[in-house]
Amino acid sequence: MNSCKICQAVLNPGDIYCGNCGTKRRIDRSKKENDSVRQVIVFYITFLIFAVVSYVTYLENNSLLTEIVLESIFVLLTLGFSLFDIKGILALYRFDRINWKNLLFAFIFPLFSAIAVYFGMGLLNELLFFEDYNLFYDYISYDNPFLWAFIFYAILPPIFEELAFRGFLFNKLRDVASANVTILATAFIFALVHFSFISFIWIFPFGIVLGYLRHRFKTLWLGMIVHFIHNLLVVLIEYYYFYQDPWNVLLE
Amino acid sequence: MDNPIDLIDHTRRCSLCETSMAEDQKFCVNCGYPEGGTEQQQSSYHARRVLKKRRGTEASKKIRSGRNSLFVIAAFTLAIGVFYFIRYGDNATLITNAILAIIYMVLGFWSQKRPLIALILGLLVYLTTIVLNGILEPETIYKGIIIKVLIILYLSKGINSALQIRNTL
Repeated sequence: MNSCKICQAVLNPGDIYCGNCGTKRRIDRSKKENDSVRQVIVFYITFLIFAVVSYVTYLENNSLLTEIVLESIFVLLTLGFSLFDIKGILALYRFDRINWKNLLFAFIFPLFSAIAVYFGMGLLNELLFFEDYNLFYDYISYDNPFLWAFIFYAILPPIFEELAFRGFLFNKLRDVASANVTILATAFIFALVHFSFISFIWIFPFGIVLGYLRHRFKTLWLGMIVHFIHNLLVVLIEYYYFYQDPWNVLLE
Repeated sequence: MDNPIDLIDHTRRCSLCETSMAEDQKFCVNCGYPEGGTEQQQSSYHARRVLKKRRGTEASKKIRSGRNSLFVIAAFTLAIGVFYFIRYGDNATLITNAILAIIYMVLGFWSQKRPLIALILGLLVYLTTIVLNGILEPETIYKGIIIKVLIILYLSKGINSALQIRNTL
């Protein structure tokens, strides 16, 4: 049976106020909500500043060491924010909700998303910006370009972006919003942080799928698998087309 | 035949919200009104209620200002895109700005239903565009700095008020 925290009088389930002392029964969530909103904004501004610093650093020095240092900072920042909600985040590394159906979806969905995004966005970029960018232009100067592209595109983002966006950010926004709104908001911020308004067209729906998987199955593993396969396929296609062009082979 | 006097409901009720009250209860369990309290407690309850209502009205005004800021940015962003298209035939800027304007408009309308989340997202989009423009053309950071600060201020106040309203309801 519930009782008033101030005067210990008995409270019925529907009572909002204590009938004896008039104290409001509802737990005051204002501090938790204010903290969560503040952390969301600080989280975003931190990554915004990090993006600017990365951009300027790349302009000054575009080397493998620079990339390793910047990626390490990104990883440390993500882990640092996760410490604010360590209990909530550790609970997301569970396997008990994973079954063959959702696992099958996690393996099949990115096959379609990667192909649709790669060719769709390639076409759009050519139409709008008259450019044909291949990520291996940035990696060709490194020893073993495929290995580094694999690490920086297929391994690190699925692990740490999922932790940052579907882990920390999702949990914080969930404190102030319903599940559906949180899925939309995390997908939106995830798309925004990629700093390309054109890419918004595909990253936003992609983020909704990842957010839905996180919410429905209370785990980050499925999102990590989808994200990994999607990015890996993009790297493989880029690698294939890069070496199809005899000029690029010469460049190497 | 029943006596009409017996049909009258003798249950004790709150004089403000009509919720039934037990004989030994001093306060209404639904609205907190001190039905059995002193005159002073009752008048202080009314004063708190008026204050809360006034705060709610002020908070709503600030949310409205935040929403209007989103519509203003949407219009401004679209206008710049159209200007670049007409002046320089720049398709890419037009499309990028049109997407951005649509995002601001959608967030503006959404803020009528979900003010807190919509205004947070609006603020983040606005900060991102300032930073991106600053990277592409550094001199834009100082251009219209007062308007930029005002917009950030309106959006921040809107977020604060949306949080306040959530916690006073």
